[in-house]
Amino acid sequence: MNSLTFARARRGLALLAVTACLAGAQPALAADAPPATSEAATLVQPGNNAATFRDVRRGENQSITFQAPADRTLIQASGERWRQLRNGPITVWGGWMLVGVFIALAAFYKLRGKIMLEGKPTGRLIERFNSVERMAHFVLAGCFVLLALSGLTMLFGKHVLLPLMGHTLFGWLAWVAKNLHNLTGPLFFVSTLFFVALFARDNVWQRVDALWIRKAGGLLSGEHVPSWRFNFGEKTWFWIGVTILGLIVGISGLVLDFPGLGQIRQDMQLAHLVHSVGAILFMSLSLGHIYIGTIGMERAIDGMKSGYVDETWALEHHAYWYETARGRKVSKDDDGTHTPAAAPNHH
Amino acid sequence: MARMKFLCDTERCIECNGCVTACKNEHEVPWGVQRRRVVTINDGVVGQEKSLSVACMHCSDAPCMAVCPTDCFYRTEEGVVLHDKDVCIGCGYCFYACPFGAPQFPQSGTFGLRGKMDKCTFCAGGPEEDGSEAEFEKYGKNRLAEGKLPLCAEMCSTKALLAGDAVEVSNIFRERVIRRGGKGVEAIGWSTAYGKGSADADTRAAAATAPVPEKTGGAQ
Amino acid sequence: MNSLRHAALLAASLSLVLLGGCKESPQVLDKKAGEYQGKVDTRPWEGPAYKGDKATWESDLRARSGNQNELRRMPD
Repeated sequence: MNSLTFARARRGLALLAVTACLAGAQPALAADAPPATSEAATLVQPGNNAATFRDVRRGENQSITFQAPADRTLIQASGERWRQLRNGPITVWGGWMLVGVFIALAAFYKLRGKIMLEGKPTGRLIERFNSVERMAHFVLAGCFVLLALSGLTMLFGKHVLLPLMGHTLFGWLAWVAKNLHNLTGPLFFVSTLFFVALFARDNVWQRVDALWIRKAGGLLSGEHVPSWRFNFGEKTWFWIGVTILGLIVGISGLVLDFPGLGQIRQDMQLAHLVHSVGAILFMSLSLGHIYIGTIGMERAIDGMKSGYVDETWALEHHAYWYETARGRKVSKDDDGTHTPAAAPNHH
Repeated sequence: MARMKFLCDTERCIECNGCVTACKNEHEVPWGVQRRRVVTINDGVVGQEKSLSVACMHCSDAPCMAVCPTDCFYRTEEGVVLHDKDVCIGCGYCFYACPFGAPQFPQSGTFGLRGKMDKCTFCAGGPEEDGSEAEFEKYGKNRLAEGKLPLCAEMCSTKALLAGDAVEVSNIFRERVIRRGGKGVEAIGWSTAYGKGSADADTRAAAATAPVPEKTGGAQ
Repeated sequence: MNSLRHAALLAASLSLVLLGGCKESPQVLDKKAGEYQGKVDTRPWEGPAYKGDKATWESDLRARSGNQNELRRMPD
């Protein structure tokens, strides 16, 4: 009896030492090959729980007496993966990507300068966006800016703002940012739907877009490529940015915004990864859109500000749209061979 | 001195939920929040049912701390992970990252808006004056400052849940395991909570090499 | 040939930079007495109960930890 107890003690100690040293190793480390199921294991080795904890790692066969707000999972391993992706690539690459786009635009501005009108403005105006369209744009844009700033605060504020303002002030700022983000989000989603419905018709593929792609929009050459109401660059921003990324970010954001609808932690981890990657891409593209709409091109902002653009601007940047607005006919199938009749200055 | 740790022995936990209730009562935690919970594995299956009490394990490399956007967490000298509710914004990231589902959020208002995060403090309060009204309101009792251990462990009727200095706790557990001829896998979460990071490497080494207490014979 | 080597070198260094994004910088900052990672909090033995007597606090806590071991209280 005594020697048996001694042997068991020795064995137990050795195994304990092994498990303590190799922390992180699976319980299956035990010397004897464990039976396949936890049921069989319990019958063969009543004191060995290794098989039971393999069930735990798989998240199987677990229950709880009272429903805690957390679910019945004992240990969720996916949280660690989420943490590594968020704190690693998303924060580091995402951050530098935004900085990189900003620097690239600044360099472009330095090299190319503001894209000026070539002809003289005529003073005759063409309506580009009616009041509903402008309102839809600015509601969406306003939401976007609020969401972008508050979202950036939550992802990068810890590294950028916190060292400057300290925990108390930054905690308050981040609290404002989070609540602003959560309240603006649903409005952003609804206005995205409205915006897409409003502008989808003028953003479909037109033959002349092929010419724009071939000439890269004339961005570098300075050449004016004809287009209808929206050129291919604007269409790219509309479909990839506003529509696809907007809906991805919007839907994943709603999953995070309303936590009481039955989604579990794993759903929210996935939603958060999709949301943050989508948002960083969206913000990178938006920098280009904001640049060209403000300091990048002379009078580009007029259409969104007042609703009207000068005829010269319309002719130079959207020649076919200008032609139709002037009452002339341009074939929808035109691939760029049609040249506008005359510049407005020559009338 | 101490590196504080929790340990739950699955061979002893009888799923009485006494720890859960004691914790709720001691700290008067908000409605809808449970800092500790008991999970049962293979419930109702003869011979396979195992229960465990789980709360914040006060990890060495705490994921909550790593992902917090406002850096509201801190680790005390005893290895207890605490947080500042004045800085917490209730974003829920710690809840996504935590392996044990420890962070809890009281609902505040419509929209499922999360309130400030609440979690097990190892009965160590928070960043307010020890034993003050403000500390109790936000974080519950500070038993550690009174020289006491977490109530959940101290009142556990079967002593399945152990709390305290890592060396003490591992000694108690080792003695137990040797007596019953188990394999030492009856404790759960240790490799997840304390497996990484160097903060407690020396403590673990100490636990692995500490001498076995004398009274190991006579197991009947 | 030279430009090919330059391109390879550039690709290699770029992939190293990108790989750098996968690492995680340590989150635990410096510790100072009575202040934890930039947060102010008194230590457990500095409250009204122990008034800074660390040794007593430690022995009290160790005693309570040991009390959890019923095997030591059990007769042989």
